Order: sequence, then structure tokens, then C-alpha cells
Amino acid sequence: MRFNSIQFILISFVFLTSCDSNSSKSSSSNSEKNLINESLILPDSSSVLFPLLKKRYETIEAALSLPIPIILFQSNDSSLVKAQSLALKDKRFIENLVDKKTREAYRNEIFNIYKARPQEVSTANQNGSVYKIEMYNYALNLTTTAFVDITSNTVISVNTLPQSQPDIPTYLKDLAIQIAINHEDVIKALGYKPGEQEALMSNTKTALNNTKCERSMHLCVAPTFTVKDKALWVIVDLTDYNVVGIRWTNTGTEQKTPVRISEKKLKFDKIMECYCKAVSNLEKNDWNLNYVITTSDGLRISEVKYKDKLIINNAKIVDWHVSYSNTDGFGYSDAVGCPEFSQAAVVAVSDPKISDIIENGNTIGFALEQYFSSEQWPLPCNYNYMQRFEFYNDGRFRVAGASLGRGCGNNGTYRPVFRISMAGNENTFSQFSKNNWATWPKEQWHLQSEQDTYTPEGYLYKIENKQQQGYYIEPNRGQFKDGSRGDFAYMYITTQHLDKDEGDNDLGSIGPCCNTDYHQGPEKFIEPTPENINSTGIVIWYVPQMKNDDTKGKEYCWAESYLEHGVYKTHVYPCMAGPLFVPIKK
Amino acid sequence: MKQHKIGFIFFSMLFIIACSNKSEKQTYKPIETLGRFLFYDTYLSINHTKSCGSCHAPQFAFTDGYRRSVSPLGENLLHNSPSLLNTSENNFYDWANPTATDYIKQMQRPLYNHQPIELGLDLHWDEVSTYLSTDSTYRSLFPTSFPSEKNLVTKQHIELAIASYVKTLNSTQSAYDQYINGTTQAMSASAILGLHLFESKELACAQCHKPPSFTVASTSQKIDEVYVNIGLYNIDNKNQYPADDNGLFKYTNKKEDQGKYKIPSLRNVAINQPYMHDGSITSLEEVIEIYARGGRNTETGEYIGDGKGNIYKHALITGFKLSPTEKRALIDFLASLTDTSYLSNEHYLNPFRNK
Repeated sequence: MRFNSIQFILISFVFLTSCDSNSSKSSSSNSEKNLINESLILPDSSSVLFPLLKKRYETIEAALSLPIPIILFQSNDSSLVKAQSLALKDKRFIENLVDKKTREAYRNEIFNIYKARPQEVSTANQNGSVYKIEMYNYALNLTTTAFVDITSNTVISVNTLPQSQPDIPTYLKDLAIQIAINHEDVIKALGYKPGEQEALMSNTKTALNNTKCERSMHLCVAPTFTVKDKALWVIVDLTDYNVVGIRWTNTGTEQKTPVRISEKKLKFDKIMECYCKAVSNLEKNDWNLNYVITTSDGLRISEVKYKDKLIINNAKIVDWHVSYSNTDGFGYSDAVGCPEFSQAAVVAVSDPKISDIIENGNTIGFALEQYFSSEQWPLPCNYNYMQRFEFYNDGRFRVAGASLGRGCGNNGTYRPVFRISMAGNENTFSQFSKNNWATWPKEQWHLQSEQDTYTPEGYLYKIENKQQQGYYIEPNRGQFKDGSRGDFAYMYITTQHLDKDEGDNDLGSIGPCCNTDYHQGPEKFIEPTPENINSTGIVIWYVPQMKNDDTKGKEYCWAESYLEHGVYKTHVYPCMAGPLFVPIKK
Repeated sequence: MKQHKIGFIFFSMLFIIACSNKSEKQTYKPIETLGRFLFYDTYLSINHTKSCGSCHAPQFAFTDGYRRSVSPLGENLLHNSPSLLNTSENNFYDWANPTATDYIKQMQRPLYNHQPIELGLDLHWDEVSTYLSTDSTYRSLFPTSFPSEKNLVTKQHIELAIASYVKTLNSTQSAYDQYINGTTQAMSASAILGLHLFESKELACAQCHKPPSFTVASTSQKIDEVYVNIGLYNIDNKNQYPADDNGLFKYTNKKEDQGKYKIPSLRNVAINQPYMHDGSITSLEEVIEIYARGGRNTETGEYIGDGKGNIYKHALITGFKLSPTEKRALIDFLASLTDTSYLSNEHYLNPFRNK
């Protein structure tokens, strides 16, 4: 064990000193920063065309008149420029740039280009010259991604995902903040003009019913301003560049003082080098698996084997949907991930942690945990999430996640979108109902409710192959002794596709943050024509629903700071969610 | 067997006739249509962000799914939003205020309350009045709703119109209703067992949640019968409820009225969680456990105490025992009270959606 620790420190040191930092995050240029400053002194008005916005319109008009109508990624990095130009030469990548009937140009924009993560490229392509390009089509609300190899000058793959939005670049976040803080309704609501530093969660996607942001059909974000025990949400439409609505939420008891003292920079370096840029392997007891922190899909495990048999291709949490209004449909679609690759506001702040699971004094398994946090958590409108994968000696495993609050309101509902790609290509999925197992013939979904019936052991679903090997799935109903109140989860089953990416790679925001029905994102891989799922490769999408609670004595998905012996401490009330998989014994 | 077949055909025919009558588009009075627009119009709220429909949304059986609703300015309201379905026959409307004996009296709070502001209609009346007088939809609806009136846009007319609309919100096509009307297969065997338990002497649920409305608030005019303490709290075992929300006591100042709240209807109860006046219970299973125990035992937080021992608790809340099958059956029965068929009737829905 000691050897391992020393070895780990040594390896970390090697990484820190030898790995080149090839961060390719886009950032505001100096000229744009100047424009931001200029815009600050403009008269407050909802209709002011401040310089940053004026420049934006000019950029759009210029792009629309180009033969290839795309707002290009601006960078001095020749590798990124080369990657971009390679993608632009691929017909598949530029297939949706114009209206196919009228040939009129759509607004397209390259949001991000970065070196492909280890989990995103095959072993053969892990030579460090593969880049991922993400393009957003505003008109069709469509994301197109390409992987290119700038050494071999080849486009490895292209994928399009309807109703999906990539992480927004820094300059669009800055624009959203400017639109928000200059808007007269915002100033009126707050009673003063806020500074740009006051805007929280400005890069996190949102929605709002009865506007073009409804169901995230437009690219919308919500710079949020906290005032005492309330938060003002400013819903900014980054497709039309306007404020489409403002809403207040109640954030619970006022938290007076920031408590977080962050040594994040030091930690970030190590997290980036050791867990974001490199895949780690874990071999423990009878289990063997790989894990890596992704750009926006949290901690991803892959090639999970039990007793040398492949069990899971990969598993992760694609999005955290956080809704604050059942009727207005606004909230956040939180992407969590690495601290520097993306615009994710909730980032990894510590190393993955491996710990034993002990029951009655005996070690019965181990857990792999990862925490993600906003900078000022547990202050209002800051978030903290935990992912936890449990592996038991008897072959059971659990894919779980928790919100540790505090969030932006005390009427919040968290809906993490779990994606679990099961191993095998001859699987069948069944649901227990009225004392029988009923096979799902096609891709479909089901909402776990109080009306469901379970086996005496508490199983609701099972996945098995032709040899009747597989797993029972036991949804969380509060029986796991982790303080949970149950999942009330949507379960979706989709087929695995080798010819297209339906989430094996890092996904942007796949669904609107705040729908109260089954439209959480995975349904887009089912509708309009569900595919046969009898004896095939299966992907499980599991979307639990946890309502937060700030009631004293009943706190849930919540956190608050308090003074003890003159210093601030944090009470955390996690809401854990996720199903347990139990091997089917013949 | 033959008799059964004939019986079934007869009932089927009746059902078809009933359905065909239902399928004819129901017409509504102009004032009811005006009420629908006002009910869903966020312009009525102080900052144009909330309407009646924000806290009483059709997809949640005209509740909002939260413990307590949030005002347009981010304040938590005192109580859980109650369902507005099937309330036209009620004799009492408020969780705690027994003087709210009709819709108009009830809506004084959401329309005009200042602490906290719910809609704050009076605070921006000039603005609302101008809007309602100039908007083309309302310019058409107000005169047809109040043909003999000269002064059309008044607060009283707004109240009347909203009340007229809410009165039309009914849902009586649940599996239970079909079962009672002769379609025996409409309810599962488990739900039928649940119905028997519900009506049994041991559980006595139906004593207070009396069919067909499933609340005595529509059959009794006696405050003592409609407002009851079910043993949710017993702070410090001193028979107290939270000081800022102690039920009927606030209005009568009688100590025995501590913790008494209106008995709500159980129609659509499976889709209008969380439960109780403060939304403090999240599932039907938990509700049943509390009744089975004879009150709620709060072991942590500010309100520690065992509601079972609250001396003001209703005499029928004494506890009972249920097997897991019976508990399942009771939940199945409560779920059989769900009727969302009204969602296909445009009149129930927000006219401003996707306008």
C-alpha cells in the first residue's frame, strides 16, 4: 500500500512535469474585453445595441455571406486552425449549413475545438494529434461534431445530434452577462445595475416555457443574481440575443459569508494531468475497470470486468437537469467535468477516491467516488455533485450519483441523466409486473411510481442474454441506507449503435433542463420509430428525480454553512440516487 | 353467463352513448371563457411572471407539485397549493380560514395579499386595467361576459369571471367513477380491495374523505367536521403546531383548534403530491404509514414531538394495521381516483401557451 502511494506521487510528479499543457479553451480576445468595458458605461436599456452585441451581429452577417457559412473558431494555435480546416473539408460536417430547398444559409458556429480526450478516441488514434470540433447550428438546434487527425490529415468520424447543444464558449457567456446586466427589467427588479462579477451560472443552459427558450429550442442561458434569500434568474436567449424573461426563486435561509477557501489551482493541475488527460485503471478484488474524468459527462468508467468477464462497456452521468418551476420550466442543465477543458461551471475539485465498502465489520466491496463543485459552494446558486460507482465482491454493482445542494432555490428538482452501456450484443430487457416478467420488445421508457410492483427482493427490471446471464435491476426506493428517499426514475432502453454515436463519447446537453415529463433527453434516441431491442446491445438511461428540501430536520439535496467555534463549516444533506445491479443466479 | 353478456352489451351501449355525448364539444359561457384567460394571464401579477395557473396547473391536477408555492417575488407562500378540480360544491375553500366559504372570498388572498404578495393585483391595478381595456381578446370578452354593465374592467368582474371558470373545472371520469357506474373491470382486484379497506370501519378513511367528492368539505357546513387535526405535529409534546402555521386556531383563537386544517379531496391524489397543508409528506405510502401509526413522529429538526399524542387530534385517527398487500391495495385504490381526461379539453388548458 505504501509502495502504491509512493509510486502514485512519483507518477503524479512525472505527469506534472512532463505532460505538455495543451489547453485549447477559447477565451475572449482583448478587443472583446474592451468592448465589454465599453458596454458597461452605456445607458441602461433593454434595447441598447451595445458594442459587443453590435460586433456580434456584424460577425453573423459576415459569416452568412461566406461560401461556407460558419462563424469560425478564432485561435492562434495552428493545430486548432488545421483541425478546423480539416473538418470543413468533410462533406458530412458541412451537410447542414444551408436550407436544402432554398439554399439560404443557417447560422452555424464552431463553439469548441480541443484535443480529443483519451476516452473519445480508439487506442489506434491515441497519438495526441486527434482533435474534436464542435459546431452548433442555431436554426436547426443541432450539434455536429468531428474527430480529425491533424497528422494524417484525416477526418476520423462525424456525428450529428439533433436538439443538442455544445458547451458555450467564453465569449458567448460574456455576451449573455452583458445582455443581462444591461437590461432595464433586471435593473428594476434588483434595484441597481449588477456588475458582471455578480452573475452566477452564466454559461449553464436553461429553458423557459412560453418563450423560444422553451424545451431548449433556442440556445439559452441564465445569468443568476443572488440577493439575500432570493435569486433573480435572467433568461437570455443567445439565438436572438435578448432577455426573454426574469424569474425569482427562493434560495432558503440567507447565507451570509462565503466560506470556500479554494486551493483549486493547485488541485486542478493534478486533476487535469492525472484524471482528465489520462485514463486510469483500477484492479481490485475481482473487478477491473478504467476511469477518466470527461469534459462534461462527469466521471466515466469503462471496460468494467468482473472475474475477467466484460460487464459494462461504459457508464457516466451525461447531464444534471435542475428544474425550479414545474409550470414555467426554467432551471439549469448542468454539465460537470474537467476543470479546464470546458465551460462546465461544476468541475472536479478533488481526485477520484477509492474506498472500501464495509458492512458488519467485513469488507464487502469498494467504491469509486468523484466530487464536482462550483467555486463558491455552499453559497446559493452553487452546486456540488458526487458520482459513486460501487462494486461488490459478490458481483453486484451500483451506479449512483448525489446532489449535495445547495442550488438556486428551495423548490428544486434534480434529474441526473445516467447512461449505462451494458456489455453484450444479445441482451433482452424485461420489467416485473403483476408477478411476471414482461419483455420489452422495442425501445421504450417507464416511470417508476408508487403503482409499480416489485419482486420480493425489490427488483423491477432485468437484463439478460440468451444464456440467461445478466442482472436484476433494483431501483432505489430508499432501501440502500444512504438517506435517500427513492429515485422515482425514468428508465429508457435504447439499442447500441456501432455506426453512430448516441452518447458513447462526451455529450453536450441532450435535453432541456426542466421538463416534468419523460422528455429528459434519452427519448430522442427512441422516437419517432422505436427499434427492436430483443437480443441486441442495450443502453440503459436512468433519470431519477429528487426534490430538494430546506425544511429544518428534513433537508435533502441541500447544504448550508454555519458558524462553529468561530469558523464556518458546512452541513451537507445529499440526495443519493441510482439503481443496484444484482447478478442473476441460475 | 348469457345474462352477463347481455348486461355487458347494455352497459357498453350506455357507455358509448355517454361517450358520444361527451365527445360533443362542450360550450362555455363567455364569462367562463373570460375567466379562463384571466386565470392563466401572468399580466395580473405584479411583475407579469405568475398567474393563478402558475400554482394551479392542469398537468398537476391544478396544483403545482411543490411543498409550498413561490410568489412572483420569490417568497414562499404559507401553504401547499390545493387542487381546484371538483371544488364547486365545497362549503369551505381555504386550508385554515373558515370564512372563505366561496370562490370570491377565497381569492381575496391570492389576488390582494401583501405579505407576501401573491399576485398583487391592487398594487398595479392601473396597469392591469389599461391592459385589459385595450387588449383585443379582453375587449371582446368583457362586453359579452357583462352585457348590461357599463364599467366593464373592474376587480369585481375579474373575480366573478375567475370564479366562473374555476367552477367549470371538474374531473369525474376516473377508474373509480367508471367502476361505480357499472364498468366493473375499470378497477383492478387490488384497487377494489383497497376501496373496501378505504370504506371499512377499521380504517374509516371515508368518514372524512366521503365519496363521491372524497371530502366532507362539500357535504358538511360544520367547521368542526371539515377542519381536523390529524396528528402531524405535537411540538415538544405540548400539542403545538408550528407557530407561523397553526391552522384554524389563527382564526378562532380556540386552543383546541390548533393544527386543524380543511380535509382535502382525494380525487387525483396520486398526481398532486406532496401532501398535507404544508406539503411535508412526499408519497402516498408515507401518508398511509402516518395514519396507520395514528400520527406522525417528528424526531429531528425544529418540530420534534409525536403527533400521535396530540390531544386535539381527531378521534378517528387511532391507527390501524395493514399487510403489505393491503397497503398496496389502498394505494391502488387511491390511484384509481386519477382522471386526467380533462387534459384533452382545451378549456382546461392555458390559452397563452405557444400563442
